[in-house]
Amino acid sequence: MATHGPLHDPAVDPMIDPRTGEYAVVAPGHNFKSITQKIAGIVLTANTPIAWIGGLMFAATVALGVVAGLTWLFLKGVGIWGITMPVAWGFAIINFVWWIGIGHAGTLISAILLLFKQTWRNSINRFAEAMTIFAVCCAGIYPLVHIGRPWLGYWLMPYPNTMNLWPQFRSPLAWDVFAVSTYATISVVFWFIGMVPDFGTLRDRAQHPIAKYFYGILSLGWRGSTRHWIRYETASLLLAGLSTPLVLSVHTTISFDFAVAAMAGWHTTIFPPYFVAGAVYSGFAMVLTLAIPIRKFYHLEDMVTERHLDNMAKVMLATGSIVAYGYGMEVFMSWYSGSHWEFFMMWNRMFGPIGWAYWMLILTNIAIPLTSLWSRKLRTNVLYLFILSFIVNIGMWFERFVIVVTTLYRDYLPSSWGTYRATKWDYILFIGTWGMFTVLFLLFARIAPMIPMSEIKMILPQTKVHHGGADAETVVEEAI
Amino acid sequence: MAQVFDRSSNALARASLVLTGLIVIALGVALNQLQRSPWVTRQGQRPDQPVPFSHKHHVEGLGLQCQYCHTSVEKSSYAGIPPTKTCMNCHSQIWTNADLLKPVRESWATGESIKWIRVHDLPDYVYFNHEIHVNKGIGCASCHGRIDQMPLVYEENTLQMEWCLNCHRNPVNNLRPTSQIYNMAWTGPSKVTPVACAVTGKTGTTASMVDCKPVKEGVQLAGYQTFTNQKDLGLYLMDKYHIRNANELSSCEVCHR
Repeated sequence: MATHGPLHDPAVDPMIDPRTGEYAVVAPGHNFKSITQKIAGIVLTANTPIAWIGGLMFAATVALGVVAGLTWLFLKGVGIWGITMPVAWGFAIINFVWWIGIGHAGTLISAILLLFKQTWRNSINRFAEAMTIFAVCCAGIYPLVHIGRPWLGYWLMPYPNTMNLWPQFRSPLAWDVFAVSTYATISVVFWFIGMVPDFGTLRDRAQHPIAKYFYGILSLGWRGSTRHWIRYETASLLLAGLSTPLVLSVHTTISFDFAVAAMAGWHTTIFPPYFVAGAVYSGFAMVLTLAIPIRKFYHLEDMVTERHLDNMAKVMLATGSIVAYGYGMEVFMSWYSGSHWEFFMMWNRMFGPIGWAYWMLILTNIAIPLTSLWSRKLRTNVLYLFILSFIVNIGMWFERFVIVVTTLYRDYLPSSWGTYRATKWDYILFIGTWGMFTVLFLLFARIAPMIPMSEIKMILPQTKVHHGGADAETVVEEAI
Repeated sequence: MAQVFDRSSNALARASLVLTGLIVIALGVALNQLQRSPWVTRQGQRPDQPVPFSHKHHVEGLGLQCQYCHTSVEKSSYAGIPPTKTCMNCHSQIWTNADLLKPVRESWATGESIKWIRVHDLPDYVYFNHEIHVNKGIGCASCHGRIDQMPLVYEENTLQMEWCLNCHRNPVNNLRPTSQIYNMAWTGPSKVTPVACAVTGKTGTTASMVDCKPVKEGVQLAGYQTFTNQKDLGLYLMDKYHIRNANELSSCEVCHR
């Protein structure tokens, strides 16, 4: 089935439901029972795959980088990093924005695509949301530890205190606190509520008493009654409606960290939408990075189909084009503004000592993806997409690097020009967060249903009410 | 098939919701206590001093005035702890053999300072100035409590920033005539004990130009304004002592230099 593309002849294409004429999201041949068996089987199996154990051990070793990096950081101070006086924001902020950006595709898939009634989201939303949460966990570390005195980080929260002091609500860095903490909370709530019916299924299928209790508690006594479902759907829709402005405003807030400052290269009104587009761009790249090995490893090609990959690649093409427009506008405005600070900033970005980073960004974010993604052949080429997803993530990392570093190291006063060179501790913490992300994701894949069984079942052709009701009985039987 | 959870789980599930609420409340209370309880602020704690010096005996009993020992309180940011010399002014003649005073005599003989334990210890990033408070009408007792009734000194107030700011934002409640600074028993004007004030001098510092004195009930002095409550007196003194406004007084550089 994987060899058939969506636009093949409807008469022979198995992805087209012969009864309704609609494109199927899930490859044909599935019924309610087979979906449950396949997805719940990944979780409830007694045989944990060796590759999973190996992967977890490897990722946990890498994640020790976070432990080591933070321990040494707390002992010695932020001076172990490569930040200097003109470039006081380095890897910590770059990686923070990068990780937060990655998280945004998860919310886009789970919330925005729900509002648009895109059924193809159903196969990928669960692990995309998990990706969001784990990416926010990794991102959340940085704002807490890049402050020189992290033990006073709670001063950023507005709480009544004996100093009669409150945070400065005019600082985008204070907004970051609210944006990221709200984002993390809502994402977790949305993710968990989505999993409640599936936990109910796992509870009912679990054999081991501990597993029964575990999923029994998580499923909160879900019985799947009509009343449950009506409220569940309402809650999901409300949360999707809440998350959509949230996801746009969170990355906007993060773009304000730069756009509010008076630096040439930062003080740009295009940042809010362009950062959000970049976030979705890199986020979808990360979803592909995860989805491709997962569908291969767990044999989920019939649920995460080529059509899903194709659609995700199209979203990347769209958001990547917005990002390319942003780069173009930045270049245009630095010429059109008539400000020689702006002009120099762009000249320095392109041809200065760190100019290679800018061209790296153009190559990996624009040149490679935006030329190739127009081709359906390449969009449905799994290996190509997998490689491309890495290229885009590297490119989006360089975007943040270019914005942060090339703006700061040469600014208004030539007497305060410097440079930036990351130290090994910058790299150790960054690589450590990859390990942490992978550990969390592997645990999620083992414990929770990666694909929402209930939502997949809702889009099966069997759920369609059609005249005759020929298989009404089969449907009921299958459901049991 | 047996049910996974038996009937008692209903009660447990409900109790867990209540418990969550209780935990949130307990956390709030705990966090508040962690910043405000006397255990944290050390209010009322009397550390053992090398010599159990009694302010009660020396002030209330003997009638010494504060500046006899704390000499620099009007002229310096630091009120000063008296040197051994001040003790020996009297104790070279009085209680010369008392065991209690042995550390004082040793200090006098060896030249080693007595290691008093500081009760009112502000962090070093706070620049506190005694002189300005004393000269602008804040009495000793407003901050230090009734020292004249303390056998061993303890902290009466929290010395926390909110406590400082409460007064800097609204000094009216604590202002008194500079002539009453060292009067430990001062309670402010009332109907029974009015205070009369007038600007008398044309020279000198702002506070010394203002003459205030307690008067008998019903007595009206010519040229003097009579106050029967703290608020009116505070407003008058704030104006006459040229005390700056709340914005200026609560600006960071006032205390954190």
